[in-house]
Amino acid sequence: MPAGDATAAAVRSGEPLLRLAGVSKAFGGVQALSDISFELAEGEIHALAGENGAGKSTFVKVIAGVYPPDGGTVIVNGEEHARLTPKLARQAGIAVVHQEFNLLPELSVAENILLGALPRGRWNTVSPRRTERIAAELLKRLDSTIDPRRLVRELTVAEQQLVEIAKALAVDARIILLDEPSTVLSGDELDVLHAVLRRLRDDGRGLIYISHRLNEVFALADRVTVFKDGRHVSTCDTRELDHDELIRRMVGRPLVELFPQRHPSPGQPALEVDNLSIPGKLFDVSFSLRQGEIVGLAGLGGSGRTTIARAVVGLERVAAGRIRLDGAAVPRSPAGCARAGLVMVPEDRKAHGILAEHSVAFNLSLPILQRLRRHHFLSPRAEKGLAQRLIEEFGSRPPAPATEIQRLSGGNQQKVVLARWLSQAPKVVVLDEPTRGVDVGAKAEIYALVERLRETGVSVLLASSELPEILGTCDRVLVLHEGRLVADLDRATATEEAIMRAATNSVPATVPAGASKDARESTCP
Amino acid sequence: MTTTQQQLGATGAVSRRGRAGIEWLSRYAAGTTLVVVLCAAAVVTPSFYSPGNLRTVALQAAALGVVVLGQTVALLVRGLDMSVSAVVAFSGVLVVSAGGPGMAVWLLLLAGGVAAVVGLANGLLITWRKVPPFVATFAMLIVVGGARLAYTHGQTSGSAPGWLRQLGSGSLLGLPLPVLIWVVLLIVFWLALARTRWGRWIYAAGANPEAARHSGVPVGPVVVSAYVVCAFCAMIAGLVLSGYLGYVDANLGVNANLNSITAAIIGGVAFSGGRGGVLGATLGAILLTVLVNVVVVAGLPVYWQIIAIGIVLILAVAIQGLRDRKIAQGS
Amino acid sequence: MSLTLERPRVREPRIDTAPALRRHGAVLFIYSLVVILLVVASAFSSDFRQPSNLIDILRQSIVLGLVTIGQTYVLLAGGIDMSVGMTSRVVALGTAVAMSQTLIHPYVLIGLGLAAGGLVGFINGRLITRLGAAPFIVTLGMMGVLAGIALAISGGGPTDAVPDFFLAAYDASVGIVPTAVLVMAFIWLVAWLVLSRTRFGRNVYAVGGSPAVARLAAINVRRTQTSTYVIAGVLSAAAGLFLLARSGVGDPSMGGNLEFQSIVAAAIGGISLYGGRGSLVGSLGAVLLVSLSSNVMNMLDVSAYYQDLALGVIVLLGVAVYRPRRAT
Repeated sequence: MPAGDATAAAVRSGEPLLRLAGVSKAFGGVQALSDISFELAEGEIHALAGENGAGKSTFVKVIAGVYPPDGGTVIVNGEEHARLTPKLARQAGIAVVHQEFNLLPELSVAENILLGALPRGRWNTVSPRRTERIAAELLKRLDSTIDPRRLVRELTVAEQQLVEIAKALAVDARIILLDEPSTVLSGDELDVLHAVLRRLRDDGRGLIYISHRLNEVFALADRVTVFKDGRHVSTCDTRELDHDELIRRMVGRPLVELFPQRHPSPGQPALEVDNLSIPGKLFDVSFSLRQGEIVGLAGLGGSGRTTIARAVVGLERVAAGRIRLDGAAVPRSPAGCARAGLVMVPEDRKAHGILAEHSVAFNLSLPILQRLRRHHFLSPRAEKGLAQRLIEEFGSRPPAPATEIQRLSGGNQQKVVLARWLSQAPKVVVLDEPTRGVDVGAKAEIYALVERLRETGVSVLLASSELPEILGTCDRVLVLHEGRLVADLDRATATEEAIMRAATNSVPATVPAGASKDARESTCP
Repeated sequence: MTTTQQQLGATGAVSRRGRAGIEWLSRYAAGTTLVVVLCAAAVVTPSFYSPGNLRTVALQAAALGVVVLGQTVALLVRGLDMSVSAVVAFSGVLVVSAGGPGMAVWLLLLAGGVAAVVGLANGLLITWRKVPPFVATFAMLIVVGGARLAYTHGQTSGSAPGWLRQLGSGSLLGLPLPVLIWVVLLIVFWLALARTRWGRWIYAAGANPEAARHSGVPVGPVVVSAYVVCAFCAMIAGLVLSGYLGYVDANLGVNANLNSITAAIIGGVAFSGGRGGVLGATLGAILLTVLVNVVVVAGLPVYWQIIAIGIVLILAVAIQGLRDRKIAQGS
Repeated sequence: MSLTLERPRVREPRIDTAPALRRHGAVLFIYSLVVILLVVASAFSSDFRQPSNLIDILRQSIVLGLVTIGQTYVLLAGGIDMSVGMTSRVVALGTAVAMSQTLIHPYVLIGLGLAAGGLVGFINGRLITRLGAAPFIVTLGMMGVLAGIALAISGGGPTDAVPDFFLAAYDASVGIVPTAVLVMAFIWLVAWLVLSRTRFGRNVYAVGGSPAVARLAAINVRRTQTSTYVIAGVLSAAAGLFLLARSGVGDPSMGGNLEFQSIVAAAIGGISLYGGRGSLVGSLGAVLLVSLSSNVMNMLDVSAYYQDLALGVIVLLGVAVYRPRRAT
């Protein structure tokens, strides 16, 4: 379904392909976007930068018609849309290439590209030849030689991504959003993608490109917009900025008083990781954690934070490397690790953390059922007592032990998950995104809890994409970049910018010949 | 997604009430229906309440009820067991080969062994080879059924040993022994599921296997144990039934598969696992047996039995489906 | 089933045969079993080699074949249909009774029978898509309802015999090949064409693969799913009618176990029980294998009881040893 005349008209008139004005969106009290303004011109690659939680994915979903904005207007090709739906967005020529592809592995490339609009042949059947031919043409426009007859599951990830882009071409999308497309690519594949995108741009289309890789932003994009905490910070031509300035705009905020006083006094090494390697995910990662130390694990999406967290408790198959707890080899299963005193709180609460339809007490007691035994049976009273004791440790408004856990707020759910592990008096606690989806009040309580843990000599490894969190709680920060440990910053030298720079593997900016420092003060707001 | 969120926002109160209603229905439907049917029977066919008939109902309920206990455990771990009817029938074979009271121990050991093998096979196929439960247990159904037929060459002759017959037809404290056995097993299962670590593990493994694994639950062995337990129940039910009948019946347990699943679902055990309990399932078994019996006693043609069961099952699963939908909308 | 982030694997360009082999491994396996069995049996037994026997194998595969085609459609779209056996029974019995006790023209009755099957499928589909209820259980309940109806129609005993000309349909042949076999082959062909060459067919795979992705592509997921149940219903009705023609009377035990057999045949034939994967070619192979094995065992005078056991072992092996890739 080509966007057709509307776009052509917009193009001719010089109107931006897409414009957002004053757009806001909140979810249950959390303001994801506030008063966003944005413009996408035709024939441009417009990068969108910002940390996790800056509002980028909400932004994409609003444009794609998945979420209607609470306020503000979305203007596509000069037409204001009050109620964008995914279908309307598609008809208006908007296509999104998500991080998680929407492909059917068991169907061919051609069928995936033209799904829902397969060309007909004789007697109302689908003509495979025409399908393949059209698909091949689309792929050719992307300079790709993928055989359209192959099944999607036989392709590499990079090829699958090209198929997703071809889908956008199939509907002649003039506005294409790409959500972190480069995290799955490397080296040559990246160059191929960039060439493809430049072609699309030269074709007059508008591309919104979300990426953490700042090198890429500067190499590819014409303009870059920075979001921070759901707000629009700036929009500049990429020639007018440099790395440091971009990073400065992405981060840098007053530290809220969320974090308790810290009294670090680390002791013996508690957890030692040596040369951990997982093919394709981690490369020779080594670090150690001392007793009473809180170490942060920072890095961008796909850098390996969660992989390390899972590998430590045996949820990922390790190709090489050693993990030792108090000098002894660590068991290779979560159950064994828990018994040895090493616990991990997973990142995805809903999928891996909670048993949604069961009570708080059920969730709390699951790993320590043997403690509740009286005369060979589990005592409900003991369970209730345990649950109440644990919940009370967690501060304000404790939920009743019998409450169904999925009715609790994200923050309270997280507290239950944490409490479940802490009741075992572990020696090392690995936390993966412990405050994701958690309100501010609960966050403070969780940080206080982490500090209390440390005071009892527990070591904490905190993997997080929220820099303020890392800086506020950790004694040391390990920074990962694409599976490698690239920095080990202590508290003194760790700043948001330093971490970001390491995480994006950016080279510190050099002053270009002839330019003075003042000139680099951007002319851009 | 978004429109539902909006709807929920605007009509949150109504939806909450709707959800509470569905929740109540899914939990108490079986019991309520049972009460309704019993009351209707009192009015329409009072002969239902004759001692002889009640005894028959109790015995039939006991036979189904024991199988349902095992099937419930299988359903709780997100599976189901289609091989129970073959195991029930197989107990008939074993019964024939038994002799006098001295052989009782051997018979029981053999029966236990067969049940263990079947249960292990089911469990391993499902956890180790990742075969979908339906296919795995159905394959076992064919194998066990075939084994039985091959062994007996279709002969259905043979009578149950005396001690077994006494077990089947005897009474204690006015209650028929099979019913007592059922009640005892019910108590054991309820205790095991509600008050032991194993029971918790069963619920956890069915509710969210990944989260359970994160919490140290040995999900694989737990699932295998569920199928072993289920096979044991089927075996016990078959033995008791054979004792009650006094002879070997070729059609023993022929409907056990579907009836046990139906009873459990009606009783609120979720097809998707992790939810429901033996108490509800037992109510479902009683309801099923009563329905079947009432149809006969009321003089209705037999086919109404099956139709009624089918309709009740569809209603039960419709309620579950609506409940799941409401939860999905709410979260 | 959408794909998640993975580290890229560097792939050298491969010869085309390798992916084709992997893609069709299941199907090739089944057909090689069929061929092996055919060859071995023909070598050992002259009776087996007789064209009339081979034709009989094909004829014996018709009932299971019809039902399995329908079940394949349902499975591919992500569902499952436990009511196919009882549908065939009800239609068979109903048609038999109607033929002997009413004056409605038999052709009309046949049409009504097929329509009835379609209606059952439609009801299944609506219940499943509107209520969001588990297909297994809904169709299980429908199975019970239909079993009861069948019992009501037949009263427990066989019905009156059907008129001769109806029987003739079973025996009719073109040369030595029965018309029924030719028609069945045609049905397989059409079913395969629809699945692989029409939009509807592609939609079935899409819906089974990932309803979310299908919806994004503006495919009507509910309509597609309901249609598969209707197809299964109509084909089950056809199977019932064929059973009726074969036996001449309506037997109250007709169509038993067909649901199980069709599901297992489909599974062995490479249809994923989670939907979105597999081909009718595989189902055909499985149906032929079952029919062939039965025939061979009959030839070998294997007692009927051992046959069941052997079938069970085949199923177990098929299911445990080679297993298609599982969906997460």
